[in-house]
Amino acid sequence: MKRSFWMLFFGILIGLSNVSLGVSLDAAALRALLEQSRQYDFGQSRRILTDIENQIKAVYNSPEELAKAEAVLLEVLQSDCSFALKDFICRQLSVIGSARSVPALAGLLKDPKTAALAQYALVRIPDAQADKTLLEHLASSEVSVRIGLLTSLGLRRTQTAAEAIAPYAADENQAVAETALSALGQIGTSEAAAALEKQMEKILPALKPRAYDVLLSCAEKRLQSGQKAEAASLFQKVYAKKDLSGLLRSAALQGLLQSIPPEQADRLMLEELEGEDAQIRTVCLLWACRLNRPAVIQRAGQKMSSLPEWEQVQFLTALGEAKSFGAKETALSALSASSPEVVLAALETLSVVGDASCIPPLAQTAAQTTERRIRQAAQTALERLPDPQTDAAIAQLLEKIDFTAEAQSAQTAELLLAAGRRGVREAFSPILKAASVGSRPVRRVAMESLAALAGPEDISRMTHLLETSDAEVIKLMVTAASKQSERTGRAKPFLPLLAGAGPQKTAAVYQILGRLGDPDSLEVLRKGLQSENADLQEAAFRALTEWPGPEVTEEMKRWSAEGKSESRRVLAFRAYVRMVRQSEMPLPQKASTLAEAMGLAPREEEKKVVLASLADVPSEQTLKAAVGCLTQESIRPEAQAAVLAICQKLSSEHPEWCQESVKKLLESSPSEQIAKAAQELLNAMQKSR
Amino acid sequence: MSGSAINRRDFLRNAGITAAGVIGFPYWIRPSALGREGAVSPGNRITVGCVGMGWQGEANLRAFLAESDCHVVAVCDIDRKHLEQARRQVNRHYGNEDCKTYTDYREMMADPTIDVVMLALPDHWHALVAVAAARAGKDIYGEKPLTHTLREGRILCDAVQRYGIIWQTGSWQRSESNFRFACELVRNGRIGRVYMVEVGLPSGHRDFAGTQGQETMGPPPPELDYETWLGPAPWAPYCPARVHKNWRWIYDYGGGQLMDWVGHHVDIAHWGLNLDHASPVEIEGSGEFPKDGLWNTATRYRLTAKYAEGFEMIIAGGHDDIRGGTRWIGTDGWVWVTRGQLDAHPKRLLQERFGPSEEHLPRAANHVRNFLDCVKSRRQTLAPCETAHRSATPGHLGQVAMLLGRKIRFDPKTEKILNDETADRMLSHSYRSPWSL
Repeated sequence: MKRSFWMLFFGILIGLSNVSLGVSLDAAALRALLEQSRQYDFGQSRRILTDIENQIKAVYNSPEELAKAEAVLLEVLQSDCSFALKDFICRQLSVIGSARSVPALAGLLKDPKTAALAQYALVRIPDAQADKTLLEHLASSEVSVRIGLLTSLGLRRTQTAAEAIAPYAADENQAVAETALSALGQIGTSEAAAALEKQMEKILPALKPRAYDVLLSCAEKRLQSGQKAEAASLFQKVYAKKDLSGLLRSAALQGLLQSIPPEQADRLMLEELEGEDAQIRTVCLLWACRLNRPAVIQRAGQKMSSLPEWEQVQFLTALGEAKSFGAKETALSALSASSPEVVLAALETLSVVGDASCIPPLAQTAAQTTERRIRQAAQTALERLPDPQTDAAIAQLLEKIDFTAEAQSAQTAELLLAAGRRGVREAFSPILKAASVGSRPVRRVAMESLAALAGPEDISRMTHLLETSDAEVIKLMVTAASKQSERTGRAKPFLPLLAGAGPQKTAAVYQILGRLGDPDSLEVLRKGLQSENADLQEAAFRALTEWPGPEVTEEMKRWSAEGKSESRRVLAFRAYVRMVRQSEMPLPQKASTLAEAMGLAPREEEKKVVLASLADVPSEQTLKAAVGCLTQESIRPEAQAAVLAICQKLSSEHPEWCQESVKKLLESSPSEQIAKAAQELLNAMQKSR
Repeated sequence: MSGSAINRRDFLRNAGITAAGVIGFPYWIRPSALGREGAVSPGNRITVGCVGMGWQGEANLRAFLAESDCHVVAVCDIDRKHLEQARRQVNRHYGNEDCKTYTDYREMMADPTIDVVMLALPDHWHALVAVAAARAGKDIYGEKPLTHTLREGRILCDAVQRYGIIWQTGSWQRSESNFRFACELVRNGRIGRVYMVEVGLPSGHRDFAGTQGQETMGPPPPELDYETWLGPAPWAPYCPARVHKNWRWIYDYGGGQLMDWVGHHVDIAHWGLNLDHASPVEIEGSGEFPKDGLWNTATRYRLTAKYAEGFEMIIAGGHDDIRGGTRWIGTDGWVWVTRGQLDAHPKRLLQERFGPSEEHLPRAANHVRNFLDCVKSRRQTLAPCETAHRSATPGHLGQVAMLLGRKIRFDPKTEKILNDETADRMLSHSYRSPWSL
């Protein structure tokens, strides 16, 4: 107790002293560490350097203490120490260095071996003295150092250096010239551009494109800072040079269009649209959309069919991306293009700019095309049409359709599909009508849409569909009823249908009840097993094998062994395995149940089913069960796959079980693929040990 | 040091070739490249050049080879073993001996027969090669993180924008259905107003190349042009632990787990919030760094970033309270997503469907497919350059905050750190001569 008190007391005292005094640098200790590291070399332990760095880091937020650290670093830097230590010190100075560091670093610039170290620090030191020093050394330095200095001035964006750097852009040494150009591009001021222009004639031909690239970069920076006239002038100079590559002129045109007044941009684009230069024309097409210039878009739309396929695609894409003026009309007219690529681009554009008026042409396109890609794109466009009037328009169109008529059934199907995918509730009645009286394809799509739209509250309106009892109707009923999250109560709308129903309808209802798994309907199905009608008995049995919950698991297990026919035993066993897999029983229990199920399997096919399930429950028991099957030739591949899958999941936790099992797997002549994966797993387990 | 190597490689001549050879057509795509489904003749395919053939480059190469409307015509690497393996792989695939090889990317960029390039290099090389590709008019599939430093990212984005380049970042999670669905849930307001995002990333260092601890200096293997491998990075002697695959654990070449993964899970966080062009305005955090050994990137870290849009993002590696992946937390629930998994609260969100007036994010069969489709249509890809730059920005800023141990404030518009010149300068670093951007 006493001891704790004093510890607490001193703790508080130390804390208070830190608060009041702040962290201070022990310059002597820092110097001593640096002295010890004087001969430090790459490849040696850097623990001592870490200690030095941590001492400096501890005072990062104290300018006074940092100045002390800087002084100690400079002292050692200027002494006779190793290259590696100088490298380390310059890295420290790159973070904490000030004007005080500049003279010492300037000293390193004289030697090409150490110049890069100095530049590393100088490039980051936030003081104009660093710029001055870099500039001063430009003329006198050796080529590789000069390149580094130019790079540093560029990275620092030293605005005052543009005039001094520019002559180097015309240097006969290409590396120097290219670096000078890079530096001017990074500085990017009007002065940099002007200084470069003065040198343009003298720049080596091979570097001319790069020089124009730098001018463009300067122009972009003017544009970004709102100096449009200056930017336009620079862009115009590059654009006007017809001997430059299409790439540079396109880039210049793009900038120019953004810099000049819209009307002037229109005139320029309209002029170029009529030109022969495809690349320039394409820039105009794209930027007319991006800048949303109606006159140009209109003209491009008129010309579209005469444009090459790729220009049409790009124009349509740009219209959609920018949601530009005339995008819908242009895309609609492109639906009749002969090129599938153009039609696809038009459909994609309509999916973002289309409105209710696009419904019929889109449905028609989807219905009439023989290309899967186009059908899917048209269906997606119908599904995505952003116009809020679209849903009501689809419902109105469906109201007017005579679903018994065969003509136009493909187009009708597309409308039904769109209504379902978009969730158009107001179209429920016509869709239900289509499901009742339509032709086979129309009915099929109508039921798919009803499945998307209908909920439990709609079932009573749809039960008349059960008269046909086909699989699609049953699926629809199950989907609608399953939208109620709780299983209990799902069967309620269906139970009254059994009263007085014929065998066909009864069997259909049994099937629905089995899939819904409402516990309130369980007794109905069990009773069905006692039916005098063999078909209904069978229907009830099959319905129970589809039961989604755990309520009939034990019955399935019993029937796996005692079923009156092999087919029933097989069905019951498969249902049993599924129910165990899906159950929420604790993992060890699930593992032992599945392992035990292996012995109950009526045939080898069912053993394979169990083996496939074992990997879901990785445990010692399931692993043993799978390993036990490695000796059985007929199911060996499935056993091998199960062992591998279980071990992949268990290997980090239980490498001892898994190593042994994987070795047995490898001894059982697995396929090349399994063997490779098993060997990799074994190697990883051995390595991790 | 570097000068001699560059002289050997005839740097000056090549630089001239590259610059003079800027004759690409990024706004233009050959009509022949607009192939018909399943019927693309070999001459009509998009031609692909691949740079960086080790590891991720090899995986990307396979993805390009699997697409029938493109044709890999050249490979480039400074490790001759990687180069030869890649050449053989390509030739085996096409059943000929036509694949060209390069050891200097500048020569490949000057090849006018190449339409697009795939870049998979160490981070410190990302910007140099990508900017050269953009200036040569090649469309680009490039790996994440976009660049090694934030300043390089801006220069690259500007070049890509200038020349109308189609860019796809290797942030392939955007092409996966579970990530897309998670983002659609968030974008369509299913969890209400998002006030917090948790991004869980890996921690530690993984020895991908089996070279951990091999730090004794020695001559590089004959197949590796080590001086060029170092490129713009500070000079350092060769040792196996420095190079292939494990370079990412050294700050001179990579950014550790944080920068390796920021282009995935932070990228997804932004995508979900429809903030592909946003950056934090404030960030602070801490990291744990190895005290010894060559590998020096943070092994455990935790960053808190504030966005002007009114939410906070925690980015953490090695902290159990932050689950791996991306989790958006809103006023009405949360959504969590990672590779192959998706979860939400309330659970019913997992069954949600989106109406026509809601946001539907673009679908892609796969990430390379999306890139090639966009090369043809000039549509923006799923992971464009500016997006990748902004996805990496919290990582770049986080590194600075961690290394300086203080909170930093950032202006997303000017991309400058405010009121802290030292921190701001750490957003770039020196290039070793003769490299410049």
